[in-house]
Amino acid sequence: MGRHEDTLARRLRRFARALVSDADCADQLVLETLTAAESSCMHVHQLFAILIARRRERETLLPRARAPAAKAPQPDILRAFEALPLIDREALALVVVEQLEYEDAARILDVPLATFIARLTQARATLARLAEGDRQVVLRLVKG
Amino acid sequence: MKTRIPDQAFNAYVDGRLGVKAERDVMHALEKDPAGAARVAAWRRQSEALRAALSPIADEPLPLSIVLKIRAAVPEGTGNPLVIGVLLGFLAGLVCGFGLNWIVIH
Repeated sequence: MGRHEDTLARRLRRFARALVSDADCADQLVLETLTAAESSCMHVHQLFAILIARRRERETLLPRARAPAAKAPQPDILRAFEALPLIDREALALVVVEQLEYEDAARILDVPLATFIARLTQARATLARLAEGDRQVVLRLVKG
Repeated sequence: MKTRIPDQAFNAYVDGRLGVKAERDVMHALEKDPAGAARVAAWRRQSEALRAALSPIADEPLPLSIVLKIRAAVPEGTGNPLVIGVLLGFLAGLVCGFGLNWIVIH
């Protein structure tokens, strides 16, 4: 197994987990992406695009099937992040976690740069509101 | 709430992706815009938190299913130095054998 493939798979796994909180589902998504890319040497950006397409198909098949109670405890930021619409999570994951250039992220999502910037701005504003809201709830709970 | 700084420059400032001059311009604009400055701080905070929460996933060992998948995806033989070496050795042996045979016969 090449070092390159190994690094690529690790990045794909991290990206998948940003779009699906369940670790097994995320790994399944990575496997599907690697299967679709098989035998052709693809750039990581193309793999991200395939993974996004697969993830979106799932969103239309099972709209928001989530089990809130059964989840392991996780940081506040992830709770807020998971409450965002999928397209907001895609934009944030590409820029903040994968640290891609805005132009590359726009190409991966197949939208004009201006649309991508609008989406990123919207995602950050919503995330700030949700994360802040979370903190307020906690404060209220603490204060009784 | 909205700053007069264009969205792209504002995001790029938050992400530390502006050139020296553009960065200085945004910084000056933010001095007169406390709401914008607060937004920068909040967005930077949440970016760091998100990175801290998700980055370690890339350091986890790969699950077996994925390891097997990427092994299967590397085409057999091509570019593998061991396989090429063995093939070359075999060919060299064949040539030597034929050569010796020819010498003995003649």
